[in-house]
Amino acid sequence: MIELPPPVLEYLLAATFARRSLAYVLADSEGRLTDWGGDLAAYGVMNPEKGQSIGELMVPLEGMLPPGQPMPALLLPLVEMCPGKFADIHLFPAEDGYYVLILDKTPEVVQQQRYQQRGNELSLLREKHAKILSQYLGEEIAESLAQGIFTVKEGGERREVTVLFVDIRAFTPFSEGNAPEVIFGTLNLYLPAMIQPILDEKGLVDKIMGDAVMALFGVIPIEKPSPVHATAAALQMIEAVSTINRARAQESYPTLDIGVGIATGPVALGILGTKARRTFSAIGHHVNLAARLEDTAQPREILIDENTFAKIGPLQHLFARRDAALKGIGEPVTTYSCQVRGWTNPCSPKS
Amino acid sequence: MIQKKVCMLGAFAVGKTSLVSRYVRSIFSDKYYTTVGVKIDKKLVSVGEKEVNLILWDLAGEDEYQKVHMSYLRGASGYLLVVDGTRPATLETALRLQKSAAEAVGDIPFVLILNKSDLTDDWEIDGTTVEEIASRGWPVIRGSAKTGEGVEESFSLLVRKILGE
Repeated sequence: MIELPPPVLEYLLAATFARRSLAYVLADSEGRLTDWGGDLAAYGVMNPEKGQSIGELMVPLEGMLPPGQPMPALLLPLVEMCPGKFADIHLFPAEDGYYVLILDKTPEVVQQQRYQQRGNELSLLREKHAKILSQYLGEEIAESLAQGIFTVKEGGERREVTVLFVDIRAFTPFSEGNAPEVIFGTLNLYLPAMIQPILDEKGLVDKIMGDAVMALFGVIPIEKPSPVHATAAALQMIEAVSTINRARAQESYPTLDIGVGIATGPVALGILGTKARRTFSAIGHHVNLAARLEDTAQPREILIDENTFAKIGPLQHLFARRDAALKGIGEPVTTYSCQVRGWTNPCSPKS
Repeated sequence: MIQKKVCMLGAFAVGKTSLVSRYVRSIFSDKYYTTVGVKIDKKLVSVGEKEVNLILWDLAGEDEYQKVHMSYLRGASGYLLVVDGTRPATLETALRLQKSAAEAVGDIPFVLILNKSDLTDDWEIDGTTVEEIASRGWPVIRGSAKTGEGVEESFSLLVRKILGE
């Protein structure tokens, strides 16, 4: 054990246990209460009595003692002690029995609930998407056509589609400076804001690559031209991300922005892979172009190519011509930009 | 009175909390709320002449980012292994969790429930798979927290197994 000066220990104790409602009980090897202290009332324990079973004292401790065999220290994280009150329970042996330490973790549960809810909803969404795709891939083309879900020939075909790339700006430095649970928690918060608009606009989520998403519009049958759906999805994404950022800024959490690139044109569509695992794939100049546009886009900017701009009708007034040098694209490209400034999105379809 | 701790094990969003809610309070909600950590409920049940106070530990489901803490199973007399019949991957998760549970607390009674039987159009676990699981000697029940089908039966069977009846 490191020997620390009393002021350091006092500081550490205060920093560790402040607002944690520390409580403890000491039980004999049969699980009978011999001593207790701290803020047991915070966990709904009002009148402990010597000799009382710890299972009667606190329901979560039922069955914990006697241990049956030599027991090392045990941690039960995030246990609901009484309605709305969560705690970490530490159980460890001592000379005269077993100590049970209880530390309030309610604020952590509230925060984790938010991240976990979004993360799990996103996973369910992904599963649903994969299910639809695999259902199609396992069936005959005629049957798929009859269902009207997908209309791509399994052997491959060239078709005009709109390709959208979106990613979170500066996510790599963010991920390098934060713990994995913070990285994934944040990612799971922002990804639904990028994916849901794609699904709402009948786009196909082709790939999720870390903090980036690639989507195709025009593969699933749609009513309007595919550039209109893709641009509408991009506007909704920026709106949704702004909503998340407003909430996070109020709680002093770091905020992140996205950049979007959209290109329209003929690409080769087909199915790649083995029978066990087949994936849908799009290849061609306009896929690369959309990726480069997204690469070049500033935070909260939607950068589109000329083909897309020509077919978005009334949405054109939101865009201004912006000449951009695109790495890896040989010929000069005319691009159009919708740059959203501040928290309020002037491109919102609602406005 | 006899007190018995029972844990709910399974992947995320298979319906563990809904099964507890149906069994304890006879209510069901379609809205999905993820469970963080553990929620604990109680239910008094009669088995023949005996009364048993069941302490139900509803554990957070396993997902991409977090494993189930097997320390939660300490002191448990049995567990309900929950599978979503519309998501075959949740059966794989359940098989893995059963193995981890057996390593952590030994050979204690459990029952496997194939939940969401009301979603007949989306059902993906076929009879052959169910037969294969049953051939291991595992009790398998098809049920639905939404309609109540198989819920009482699953918990009752588990309690009877715990009491050795």
